[in-house]
Amino acid sequence: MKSWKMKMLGLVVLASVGCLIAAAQFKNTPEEQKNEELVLNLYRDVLGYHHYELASKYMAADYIQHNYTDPQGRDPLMEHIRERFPNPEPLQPEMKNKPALVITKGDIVLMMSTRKVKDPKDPTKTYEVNHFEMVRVQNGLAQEHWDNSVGPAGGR
Amino acid sequence: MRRCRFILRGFAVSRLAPISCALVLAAAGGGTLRAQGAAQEAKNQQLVLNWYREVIANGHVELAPKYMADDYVEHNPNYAGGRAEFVAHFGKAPVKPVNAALPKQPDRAFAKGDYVVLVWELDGEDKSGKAFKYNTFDVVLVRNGKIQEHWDGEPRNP
Repeated sequence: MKSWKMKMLGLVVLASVGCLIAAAQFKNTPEEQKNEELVLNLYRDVLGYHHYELASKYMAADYIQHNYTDPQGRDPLMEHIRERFPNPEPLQPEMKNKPALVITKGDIVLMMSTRKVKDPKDPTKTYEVNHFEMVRVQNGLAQEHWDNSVGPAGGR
Repeated sequence: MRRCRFILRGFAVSRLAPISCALVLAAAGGGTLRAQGAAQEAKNQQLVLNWYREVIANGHVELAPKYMADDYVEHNPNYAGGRAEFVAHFGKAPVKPVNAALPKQPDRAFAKGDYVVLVWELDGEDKSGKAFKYNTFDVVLVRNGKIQEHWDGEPRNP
């Protein structure tokens, strides 16, 4: 009876640990998890609730910008955004615009957000369009940024 | 040495033996599974790049069933729907040799789990005629070796 119980316990443990590992094969590594959290928190606190004083906690001073309309470097970018959104809002644990999909691979974090916009052919109708933000993390700080708001998808 | 044997004996008779065994096996299996995961990701990425080249860029829509699931879902608002809508859209493009190289490679491609991401850098011109670079993104979901779903950032054409 005792050995039967122990065998069962062994099987249950083996099965559950096996499941965890199987599920973990596509999960973030601890490093990827850190990178993902850093980028999501940057978007939440600095870009979402406009707490520019926290920028240096999340972003490298020599932040590289690929969006043609935005300036290079962390501080010039903060000034640029501050002109449009001068007033910080109270910090919240949840992001203001939570992405529909986050994919982190190594030092790259990609966020996809989906929003409804007016149909150019029929303004009474809406359709869904996707916006992408991609950040490269280096030494625990956001170092480089790409998005799709310039080009054919721009002007939204 | 004696101490080591003592620890080993303690380990074997311990009630925790099945758990310890399971943990050791799981840890060994974890590395293998992670390697299998990486191999699967590389396969998914190659599948998406081949699909992109043959079906989209070179217009071989007859190969759509080879690459895409029967219940494929397309999110681009200009040809949203299933595989039929996708084939109708890309079937209009001129057909090139199936293995013709892409005029431009993605600037970055990566796979994570069931997702494959392609990032492109393209040339644009602003209203004043000044040249600039911009990015577009493709996200593809792969399931059971077939392309299942696709998203990009294109708005609806006016």
